[in-house]
Amino acid sequence: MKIALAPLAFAPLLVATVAHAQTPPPKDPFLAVEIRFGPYRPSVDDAFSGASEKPYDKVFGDATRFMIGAEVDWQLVHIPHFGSLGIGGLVGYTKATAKANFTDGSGVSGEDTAFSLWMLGALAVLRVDVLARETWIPLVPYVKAGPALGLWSSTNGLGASRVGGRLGEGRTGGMFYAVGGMFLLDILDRQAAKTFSAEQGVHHTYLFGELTMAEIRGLGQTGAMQVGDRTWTLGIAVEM
Amino acid sequence: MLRPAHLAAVAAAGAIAASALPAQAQFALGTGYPRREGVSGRIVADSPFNINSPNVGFNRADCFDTKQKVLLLLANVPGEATTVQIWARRDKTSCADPTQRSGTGATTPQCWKVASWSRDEVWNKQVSFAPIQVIQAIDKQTNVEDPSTLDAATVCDKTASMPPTEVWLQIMAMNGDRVVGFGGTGTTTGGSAEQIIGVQTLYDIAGPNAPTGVTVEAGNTILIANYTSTAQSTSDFKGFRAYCFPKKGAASAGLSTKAGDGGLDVLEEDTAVGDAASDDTGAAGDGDVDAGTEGDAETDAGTTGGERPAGCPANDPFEPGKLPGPELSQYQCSDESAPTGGEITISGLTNEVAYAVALGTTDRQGNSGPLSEVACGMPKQTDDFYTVYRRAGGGAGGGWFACSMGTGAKASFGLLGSAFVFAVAARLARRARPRR
Repeated sequence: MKIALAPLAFAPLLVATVAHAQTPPPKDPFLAVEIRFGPYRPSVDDAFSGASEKPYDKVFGDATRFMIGAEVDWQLVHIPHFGSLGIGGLVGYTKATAKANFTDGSGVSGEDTAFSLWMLGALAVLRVDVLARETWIPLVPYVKAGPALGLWSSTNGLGASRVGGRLGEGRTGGMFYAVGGMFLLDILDRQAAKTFSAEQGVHHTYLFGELTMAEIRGLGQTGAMQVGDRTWTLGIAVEM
Repeated sequence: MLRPAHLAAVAAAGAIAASALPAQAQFALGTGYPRREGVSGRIVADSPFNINSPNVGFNRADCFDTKQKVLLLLANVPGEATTVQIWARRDKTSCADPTQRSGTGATTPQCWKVASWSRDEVWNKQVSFAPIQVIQAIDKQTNVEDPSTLDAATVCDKTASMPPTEVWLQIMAMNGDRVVGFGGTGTTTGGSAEQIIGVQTLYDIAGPNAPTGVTVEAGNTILIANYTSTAQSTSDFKGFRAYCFPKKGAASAGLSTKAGDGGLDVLEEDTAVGDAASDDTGAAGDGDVDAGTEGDAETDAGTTGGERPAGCPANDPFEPGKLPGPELSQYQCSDESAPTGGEITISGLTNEVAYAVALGTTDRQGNSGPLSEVACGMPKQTDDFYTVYRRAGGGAGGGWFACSMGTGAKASFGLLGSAFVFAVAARLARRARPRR
């Protein structure tokens, strides 16, 4: 049964190939905008691997939480028959909230405690779009790398957390890496894509998935809170 | 509260037919007259106070305060008139038609007399009437013939939530039962709308209903009161107020009950603020106590308003269902707020002190609604995330801009790597630009 259905999986690509042969070469886009979404668990506890009490796990448990984000890339260089190289900015946000425990061990209070993280990144982005532009394969592999910064804060029912007068906010430096692939949605309806390009200036639309490695562990810092994660991210991107 | 009643300023009265507004009519309210919020939430100036302002009118306190007066000055009353009368009705149909003032036989709503003076009493002289005269006329649907026999106890003592009730006051110069024009533009039997000074106002003498299902959860120096309420749907709803006993900063009042085991009450005499003496109070171990259900707790003598759940302080002054009087203002423990999440956070409390909490409501007319049932809780020290992190040995923090730079090779490598990546990108970008 699986073998019999397998050729159907290639049907969209065949359609795309036929359509591609009738399409004039598109203009080079200069800007890519991404909306990103994926699970994210700050690696705070990595610094406490030998400890009996792992703070993030103790307070927030292991429930999956997500990071939403956006990225804007300026595609500076277009390399013929290969792809583009650009620089961009990334911003992401995640927040974990839980009820704080009473200190005396008498149970869970009604007070919320939260951990918020803003992730900022400045990235170099290499997109290999030769496949999507010059073959029938509607895929654009890419890699990203650049310095990143995590701005974190901890709050309780009264606002920002403080312990001994020390504010529960901080920043953590690190690096951001990602490798992924973008699926060119234009092949699903090339006429609509052309119209979208002509009327809105959006040359291409993609769905993408990537392996995200936010190595935000305190680059250049001592005693910083580790807030990175290795996770996956999905999103939608447009090139203009 | 006694507020001086004198003519502070003049607010022009609106006419039912604006084109015929008699310029000689001056209508004002005493200074200090009730501060109100318009629909935008802005305080409407109390002096001068324009009775025509949107959402401005008489509240419960005004109704009870017979010393507070609405002031009226008419500069030109036709010589033909023998009396000047104020009539009120709930719509703006003219009261000039005698059948509208007959008290019987007229369609509802109809006009009810608020006040009456002889021409000599009114002309170029200040006269006044009390807000209750307006409210009583509308509420009891009866003419107020003798202002000295007003029935505040019946008229003003409302607790069920009411929306603002619009009232049109109509000031008419009369000759017997016939309306004569203020402007001397002629008279007609039965009069006409153009011959009347019309003023639109409203009254609202009961605040929104009390929240229900009040429960209290504890935190570090805070209590979180959860509730269910439909008060927000009241057209002039303003906010909720929380009342706490003992009041902020006060020592523990001792505990009132032991949870429904049929045993004796336990009264503990805590005197030190913030000590740990309340851990064995019989309250639930998590410091949270819901509003009591019947039969689950005993009640101390002296506690007002019925039963209290276990863990409540002794002798709280709250009476569920009763309006909070001025004597409770010392127990108000939250700002007036209108949260949308069914939750009010009360901060600034003392850990290890049991508090009784009741919620009240307010509207834009300045009315308070009845108190909710009482729920109790005891704030206690909590461990938020940062506390747990620091206790585990974590050293980060101090602010987003706190200095924590290291000097290791790892840092240098990372920064140099980043710089290299961008240098390459920038160089490629320069090459990609078309040369001139």
